[in-house]
Amino acid sequence: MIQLQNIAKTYRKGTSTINALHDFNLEIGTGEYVAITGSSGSGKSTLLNILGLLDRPSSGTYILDGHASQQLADQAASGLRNRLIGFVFQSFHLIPERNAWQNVALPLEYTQTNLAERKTRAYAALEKVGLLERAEHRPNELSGGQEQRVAIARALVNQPKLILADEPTGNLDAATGRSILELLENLQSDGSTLVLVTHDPNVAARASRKIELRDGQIL
Amino acid sequence: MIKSREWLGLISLCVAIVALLLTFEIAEVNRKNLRALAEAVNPNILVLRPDAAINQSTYQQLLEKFNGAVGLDKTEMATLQAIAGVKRISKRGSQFSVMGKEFRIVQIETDAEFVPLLNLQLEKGKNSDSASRIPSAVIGSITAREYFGQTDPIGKPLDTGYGLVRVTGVLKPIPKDLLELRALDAAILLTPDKSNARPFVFTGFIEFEAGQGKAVQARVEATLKKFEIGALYTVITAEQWLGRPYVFRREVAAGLGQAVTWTVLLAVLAAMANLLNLFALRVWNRLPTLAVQRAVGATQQQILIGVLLDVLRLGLLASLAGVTLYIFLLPVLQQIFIGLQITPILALLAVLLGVGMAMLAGLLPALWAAKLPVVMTLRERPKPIFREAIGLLGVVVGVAALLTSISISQGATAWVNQRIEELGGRRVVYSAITGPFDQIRSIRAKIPVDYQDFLTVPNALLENKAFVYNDAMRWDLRPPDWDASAPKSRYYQLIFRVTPSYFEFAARKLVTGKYPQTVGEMVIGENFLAKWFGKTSPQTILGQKIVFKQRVFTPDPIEQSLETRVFTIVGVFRGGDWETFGDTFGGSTIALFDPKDADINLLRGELHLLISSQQNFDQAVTQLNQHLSKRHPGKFAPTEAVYPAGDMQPIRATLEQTSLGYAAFACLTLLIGGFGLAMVMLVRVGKRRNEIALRRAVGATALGIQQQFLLESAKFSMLGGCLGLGLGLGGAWLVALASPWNFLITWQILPVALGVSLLIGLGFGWHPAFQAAQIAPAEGLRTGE
Repeated sequence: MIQLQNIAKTYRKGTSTINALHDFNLEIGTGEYVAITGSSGSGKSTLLNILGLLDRPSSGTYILDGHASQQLADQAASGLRNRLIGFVFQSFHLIPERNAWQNVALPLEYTQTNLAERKTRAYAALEKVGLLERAEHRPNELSGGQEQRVAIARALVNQPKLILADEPTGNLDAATGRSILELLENLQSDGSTLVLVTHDPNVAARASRKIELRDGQIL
Repeated sequence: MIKSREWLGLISLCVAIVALLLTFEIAEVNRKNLRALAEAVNPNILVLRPDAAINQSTYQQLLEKFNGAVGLDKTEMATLQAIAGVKRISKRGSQFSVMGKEFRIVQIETDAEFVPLLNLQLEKGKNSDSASRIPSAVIGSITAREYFGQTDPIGKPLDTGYGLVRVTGVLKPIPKDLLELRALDAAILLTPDKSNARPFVFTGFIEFEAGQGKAVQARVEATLKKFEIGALYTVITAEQWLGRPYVFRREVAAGLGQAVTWTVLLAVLAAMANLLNLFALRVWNRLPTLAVQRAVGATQQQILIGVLLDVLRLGLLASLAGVTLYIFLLPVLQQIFIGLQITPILALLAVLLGVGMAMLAGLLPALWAAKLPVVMTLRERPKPIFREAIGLLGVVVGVAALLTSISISQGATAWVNQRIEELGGRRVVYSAITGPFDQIRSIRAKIPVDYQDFLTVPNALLENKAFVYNDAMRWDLRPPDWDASAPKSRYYQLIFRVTPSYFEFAARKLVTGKYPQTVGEMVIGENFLAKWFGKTSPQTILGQKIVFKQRVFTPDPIEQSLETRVFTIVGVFRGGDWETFGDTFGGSTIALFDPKDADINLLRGELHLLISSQQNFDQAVTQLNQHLSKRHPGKFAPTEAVYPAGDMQPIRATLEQTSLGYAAFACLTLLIGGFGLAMVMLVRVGKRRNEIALRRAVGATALGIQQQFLLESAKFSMLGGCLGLGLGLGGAWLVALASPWNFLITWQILPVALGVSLLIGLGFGWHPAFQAAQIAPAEGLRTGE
């Protein structure tokens, strides 16, 4: 599913250069459940952004489901993000002006899907995460756990092959966090690849494979 | 530190200053032009002229007593000068024709006050010198050309045939619509008149202190009654004297001046809306800092002063930049708007105004900043609803200004055109009639226009045509108390015989009765009625017959005979003031003539033509002149055409400049509105970085994001456009209520206004939309609000 070869990512910050990732190689197979851990600044989020085609490596090769990311124009990369990837973020990133189902339906706006079908599929995704009854509620009317469930529903609405979750339980209490993880793991057991960034050892321990980063490299 | 989106606000202020400077300057240039139009003749004057309705026997008695010289003498003039509220006094006295090479020149006895009192402008030289031993004179432009050709006449002697005079100055050509004064072009204004003799011809001019016209008029009338000769004179105002063209000029000047003032007000309003937007945005950006400042001990007053100082700094910076930009653009602007300039005082005023407006607009945001709840602001930045609403206000005011200014422009133009129409602005007259023009008309070229020309004038571009046959010196009138022994001069009377179509476009308003329907019917003027029938009710003379005796000339003068014609009075029309040309029938009679009358066909008269529209005027006149030149090769000069409304060129030019000014103002206001919109859109992009990044994360392309924000900008702008449309219509209506013109807006302007809003949305939304598309998803998700 994922092949990273000699990936490097550098940033300029003022006059200094920061090597977020260097000589980074990684392969993740289809259906794997991988946890990426590491301290703050170790390169976890940079790696996740590159994996999700939200950012491009400074050098090296990244092949996602057979597509070399360097050769992808914006339109192609956007299309892959839309079809292949579902994102779950620590701070949920829901649009406050939209209700739950409208947030879930957001990825469908970039496909050839009409409004009625968007709504049907969004409702189905919300049902899957157990939030059907909150479909018409706005984010400020939902609890943190419910907001993350909406975010997960949004991630799965396009039935992606790859789910990238960045600290999905970071802003939640332990019980809610557990239920969110179970939800993500259910998706993985349905055949999706799950890559999860966390600094919580308990969360990482649930993954079938654990990758620990330090200074932009795998330990 | 100024954020990039705030630069737009500063540019907006800068453009606002340019807009204001431009508007002020155009307004100033227009005001100057309009003032020149309105004050071509001093408005603060009273005119003493012979009373048209005076009892004929009184006139004859005085005429005989004073041996024909019935003007006021110097002693009487001095008495009038001493009246409270009178500034100065002058006269136009006896006049004698002297022959020029081509034109008949008139020598007029006057005094040194004549030129300055009437506000006549000198082309060169100075006013005549009353202390000079040798008579000195100011001469008209035609006189200068006749006697001196291309050489400078100033200081040179001029032999008038009545003695030598020294030329001290040359008058500028008199505006064409000031018919009463046109003769001065071909005049020699002779001063000083040292004798105390009564002039044969006399018109007196009294300049009064501004605002005291009515009181002075009453005092002068009372004083005149004390003079034996004063009974001959009536006191009228400048407007009555100069007639409709002069009144029209003043009305147009006042109306357009008002329109210009409205534009300036709109420009100030548009600029203020954007300034409010800018400063509200700036305060909102600084809220966290301000909250910390408050937390560590800054008082509300200190915050208020701090914000106002910031406003002052930015206002000063943008105003200076605006003035600099205006100076930079001035050479280009001067190509379009003639007469634009900038003086140090104007520049200083613009800067002060810019700063003043900025301070005024910054006051509300400054108060908001001072009153902010510290704890809540430290925890969370307040929602910037206020700012976005104000941002939209820029577009709203921009579109409203566009609509209002177009409406004012259309309304004022329609109003002026209507006034021109009422004045006979679509009329052209080819004439051999007597009047002021005969004094400057070529003495060689005889106008050959006749009734046959009337029949063959091409119809293209014409709406109507009429022929006026002037019988001035060929008819004797026999009033009901006909006295065969009375001097015949007593009974000379102007009679105009016209084709029926004349009444369709050049008729006077009827007091009673109807217009002539058949040959033999006649209408008479109110003044004629008073002169010949005394204080008779107009209704009582309807149906009465009056007898005209026409002197029939034969080759042998001894065999001349009188032919009698009888007319029935069918109507009385309103008498005008001392209006001239074409409409000067107040003391006259108008009858229909028989087109079959061979005698009339052979005589010269007036050809009145009504052009189909004002736009076609010049083209139609060219066509007519070509036609007449063709019919009378070598004899017809196009200068023989006369325009009853006078020269409309200055008014049309002013209108054009005003309309151009409106267009420039509307464009600049929209530009300012556009900057306001761009600011708002940039803020929206900044506020929604997270959403943008998220959309990118779930599959939106950069182009898709750009399109989304462009669409939002267009929608936002259209919303502003719709609100502006309402506001503009309301504004235009209110302006029209307070103006002489009617509320006028063509429906085509509505889609134009919305289209312009859309274009602004797309144009000024492009940069923010591009910025939105450039947001890196990963960065946006990390740092977005």
